[in-house]
Amino acid sequence: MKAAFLALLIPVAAARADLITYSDQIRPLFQTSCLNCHNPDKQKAGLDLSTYEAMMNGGDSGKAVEPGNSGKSLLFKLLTHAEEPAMPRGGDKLPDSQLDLIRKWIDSGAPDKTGGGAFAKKPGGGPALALVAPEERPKGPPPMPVNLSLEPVVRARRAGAIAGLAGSPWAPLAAVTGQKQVLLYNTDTMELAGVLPFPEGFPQTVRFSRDGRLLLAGGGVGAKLGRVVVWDVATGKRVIEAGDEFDAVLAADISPDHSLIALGGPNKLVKIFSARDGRLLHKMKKHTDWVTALAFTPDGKSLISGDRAGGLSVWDANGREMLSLSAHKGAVTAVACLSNLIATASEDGTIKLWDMAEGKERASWNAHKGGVLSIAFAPDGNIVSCGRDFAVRLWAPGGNRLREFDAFQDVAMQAAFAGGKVIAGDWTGTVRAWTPDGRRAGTLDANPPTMAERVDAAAKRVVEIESLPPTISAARKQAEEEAAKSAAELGAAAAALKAEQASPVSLETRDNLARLNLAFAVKQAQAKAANEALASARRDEVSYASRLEAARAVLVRLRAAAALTIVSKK
Amino acid sequence: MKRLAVLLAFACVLAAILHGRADAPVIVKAIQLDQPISFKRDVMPILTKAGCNTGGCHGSARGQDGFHLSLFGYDPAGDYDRITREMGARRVNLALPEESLLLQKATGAVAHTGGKRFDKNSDFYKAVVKWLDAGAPRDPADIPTPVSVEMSPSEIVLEGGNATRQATVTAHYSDGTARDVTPLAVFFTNNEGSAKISPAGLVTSGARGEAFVMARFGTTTVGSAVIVVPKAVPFTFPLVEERNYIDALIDAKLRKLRVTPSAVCSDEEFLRRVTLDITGLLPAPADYDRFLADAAPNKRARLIDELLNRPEFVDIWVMKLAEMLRIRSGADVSEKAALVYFDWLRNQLSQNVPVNRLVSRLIDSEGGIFENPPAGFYQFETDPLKLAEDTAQVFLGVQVKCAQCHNHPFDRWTMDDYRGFVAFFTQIARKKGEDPREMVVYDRREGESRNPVTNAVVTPKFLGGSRPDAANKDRRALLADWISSPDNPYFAKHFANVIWAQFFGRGIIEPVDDARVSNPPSNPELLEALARRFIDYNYDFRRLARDICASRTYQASSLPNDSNAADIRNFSHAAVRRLRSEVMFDCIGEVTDTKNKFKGLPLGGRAVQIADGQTTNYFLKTFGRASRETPCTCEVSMEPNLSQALLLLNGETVEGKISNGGLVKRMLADKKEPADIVNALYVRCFTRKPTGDEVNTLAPLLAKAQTRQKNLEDVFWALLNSKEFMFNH
Repeated sequence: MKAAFLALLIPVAAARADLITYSDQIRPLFQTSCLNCHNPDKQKAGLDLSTYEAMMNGGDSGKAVEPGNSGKSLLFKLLTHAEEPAMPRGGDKLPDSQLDLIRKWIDSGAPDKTGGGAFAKKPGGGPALALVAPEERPKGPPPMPVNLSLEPVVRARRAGAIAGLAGSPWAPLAAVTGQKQVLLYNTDTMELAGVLPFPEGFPQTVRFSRDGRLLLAGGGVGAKLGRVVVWDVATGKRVIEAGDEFDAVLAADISPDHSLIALGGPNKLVKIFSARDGRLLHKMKKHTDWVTALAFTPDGKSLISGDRAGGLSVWDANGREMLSLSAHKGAVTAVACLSNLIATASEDGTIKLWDMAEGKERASWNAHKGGVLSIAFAPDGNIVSCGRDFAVRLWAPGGNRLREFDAFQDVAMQAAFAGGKVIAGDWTGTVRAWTPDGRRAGTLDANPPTMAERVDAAAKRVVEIESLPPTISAARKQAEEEAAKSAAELGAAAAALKAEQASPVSLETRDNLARLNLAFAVKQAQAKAANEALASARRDEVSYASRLEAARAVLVRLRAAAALTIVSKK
Repeated sequence: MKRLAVLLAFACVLAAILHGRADAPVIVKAIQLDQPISFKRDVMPILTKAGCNTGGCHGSARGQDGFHLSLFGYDPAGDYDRITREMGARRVNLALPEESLLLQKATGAVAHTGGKRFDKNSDFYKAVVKWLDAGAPRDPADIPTPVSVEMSPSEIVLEGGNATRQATVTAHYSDGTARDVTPLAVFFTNNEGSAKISPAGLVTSGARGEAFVMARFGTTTVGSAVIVVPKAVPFTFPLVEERNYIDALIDAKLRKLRVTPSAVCSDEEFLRRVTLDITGLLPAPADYDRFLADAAPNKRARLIDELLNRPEFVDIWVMKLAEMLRIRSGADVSEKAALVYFDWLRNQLSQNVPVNRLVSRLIDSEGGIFENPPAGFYQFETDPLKLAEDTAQVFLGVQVKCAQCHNHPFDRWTMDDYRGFVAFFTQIARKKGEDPREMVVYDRREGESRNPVTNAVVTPKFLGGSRPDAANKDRRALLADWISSPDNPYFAKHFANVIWAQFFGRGIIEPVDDARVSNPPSNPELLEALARRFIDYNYDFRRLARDICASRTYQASSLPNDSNAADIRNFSHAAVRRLRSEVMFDCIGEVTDTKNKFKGLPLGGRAVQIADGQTTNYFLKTFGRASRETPCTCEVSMEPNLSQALLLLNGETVEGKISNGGLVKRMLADKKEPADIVNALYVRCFTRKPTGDEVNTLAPLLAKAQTRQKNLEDVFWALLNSKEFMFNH
């Protein structure tokens, strides 16, 4: 798959001419420097380099060539003397030009001959990576919050780092973690739609249930307590509380049928609780480092957990381990599932797609240098990711990069899809939205103002607009006067001209006529300008009225919401 | 900051007051009273002072539960990233700074294995909150860094116990500013019994003695000497002879300590001691008679000269240098190579080649070992890192190993110093010669030393010195010049110290090859003077040895008096020292008239002449002969153990040599009187005649003729098994 992906990078026009192949360039090179020992008869270290197939089979030390990755190919490492034993054995190191050729050949996928070869082969085989079938939309209207309080629990001086971000699968709704609260934003209007208090501490992760009706948040206070809370999105009421941990919950998920809650954190345990009564059902002790990612598969049959050391485990719903995978070389930061696709992200900079049936990696690509911190699936199977290189990117499931969004100024920590938009948040607390084609679609405030502040600001705006009338009507009056004056002057000039036209023709009258004509033209222009100014002043008066009306409407709405908050608090 | 402002204001006022009385220049440089809070300046020192980044806590190789800080802060940039961004939103909270886990753990508000490090009301807490409030900014690249640190007062004398003195630590920054960093410095002492120092820098005296109290700030450790003297005890330094500069400097220190030196030792004691120290052998009976009969007032000085001119003196120093150079055959080094190297060394010392030139040749050597024996220096160690460490340890007396991975905690060496020194050794290559036993050493002219944190190339830098222009030059030639130069600050001091240790059993810096800020010389002025003399003497061992042996200090008795009984560091009396294994073995052979046969030596060769570290026997091993696997002087072990006692009592060596040597038999055959034989044995072994008591005790054993030989041999055996024989006193 990687080879296919890399194939896209080779400029099409130059493809055939510049193609380096085993049969054309590499085998002759091997003939000179390597086949003495690595031929079918001698096979030093079990390695035969005389045919493409034999070379790909490798030798006693394993694979010799890793198509697409010269840095990992043992053959290349030995030829460049990066590892022992240096090759060619007992001879001079190959000249740089030859090493360059070999490197380019391996990086381009180590093709056998022109016209196919490695490109046609898919290492690992298996079905193509694409969404088999989108998930089924649940019945009923998209779950959106109705009349939730908009009053933030904490109003800090500034936003903190965005620990968790999630998008509803079926509604234009995004959830952002805040200080002791989870914020719900309507991604169509980009306005705050609800504040869900989390007095347990600081939420570290948020997730919507698969049907979008519930929102889960896990978090707590570091080294002190941890809890998972689930709310009904429409009513904002808490419906489930699970876990009584001694450190903040770092990863959590709810099963598709809403019967199980899984959580994990610094105690390295994965725990499964009953969603109905909060009882601990299973406790799995396997991970050797903090549990940093959890996800139920869409069929509800398995739970995938990832840890800070890069280990991945797959459990069945009864807490029995089915698979243990250790492909990631850095902490697993996220696990995401959609239909048949399962993706993991890691601090090793890669995103990997998995075939859970066989426990094999199906695709892997370098997504963010320094570490991938978050991934999320779009309904069509594309993946949005963000990481330590400050970037936010969109990928096809095979690893093709579809889009690069404009980067943040700091580590990009969380990314999600919501309401058809891409949302991402960074370490400074900035949250941005884009349309999938890359245009900015606004920002979300992770530290929203209190209702009082908002009402205050809206009232000030109204007052500000209200103070305009005198100036606007004064402007209009003045314009009227100017227009009237111009009209009068124009009339006088017209009369003078007419009079002069009626007098007998003489040298003097000819000069006068010219002068008066000119004066008339000037007055005409002035009158026109004055009339235009008057028209504009009148328009301002009208639009002001609508602006004032709009501002007043906002104020009324906010006051009503504030009143609701007070009522609901009571 | 406020404190500094006040201090400066006070200083100005003080200067004004003093102006009329004495010169008290106070230089006030530009002070920024309102510096923006900085991670490196303000937060990093807190991590060290509060103990966060020590080796037992987050400074350990893997940190604690995933939170790793660089040990004592050698990587501030990495620490910044780890604290702020490594675990996303967990460790710091910029919205509500006081909720940051970093502070919650440090103040003990949440469970923390490391405990409470500081209080919510402390300056440390406030500083971290201030930094978080500012948004936890990253420092600009050009932030001023400390270039030097001083601790004041530099010398403290306290009378009696529980006397106190406050130390202050000032840091000078690269922008010219000075800053009182006493609350941020980490304090420790090398002798808690005599002087404690509190985390606030308050020195409190304990028992009479000396201590060195130190402060660490940033990458620098500095210290002050503390002397604790008994309270109100009248003390007058006696009138003693100061024979040379050594005595003057020793006495100056003893005066400060209010310690009286012991009296000069007897002629017998002197004869035995100096003969052992210079030649590794006991005085022959003829020499004994002659010396004691000599009435000349300068007979001791003459004896010293005679002994220094004997070839055995060279043997001792060849052996010591062979240990430093690890001459030993093994898997990678053939016997021939080891021998060729040893012979070369021997020749050089016999010809009195100055040791700085000898070392210079070693470092600069190239070629095949058989034609160029000094190239053997590069055969015993091939790893550039170890080579650099060994060179520093053996020729400069400093151990820089700790700075391989992080800045040295108790000394001034940073990773940059370490890697810069390693850079002198990265271009050495070796290949086998035509004779497989020979190795050829040559310069590759490529190969760099890298900083393990940043992977940047580190160019060659003299240890504690400058960076030479090494472009396209032979780096080892530069190093050889620097080491052998009279301006080198370590070389002469180190060798002077080694020579001193040979005669006193203990260096002025002890251990001899571990000079560091936290292990200062017990008498820096003496060491300085010896080093200068050594250079003036053109690095001649003999001349410095002569000065030492001629001093009253060397000739002091090993019997302590009341005031100096507890002193071991200041040479107020001679130390009782066990003979080292080779010398002991040779002396046993000498007094029993037996010859030894070692591999590579003819019959009668002495143990001190053994070239190869591999060549040994059971006796030598038991008594701690150095295996020469490392250059550490600690390989020569003087520790007692049961095997040693059993070997002497029951083993072959003593018994065998007595009977094989047949000395007693011969003396009886020569019709010597038993009493005379006893005298002769005492003189041989103890360099003295038996006392009246001893004579009386032994007389009954000599009465019967049949048992005489056996009894005399038993007496001989007893003498060889006694401490008076085994120890140099």
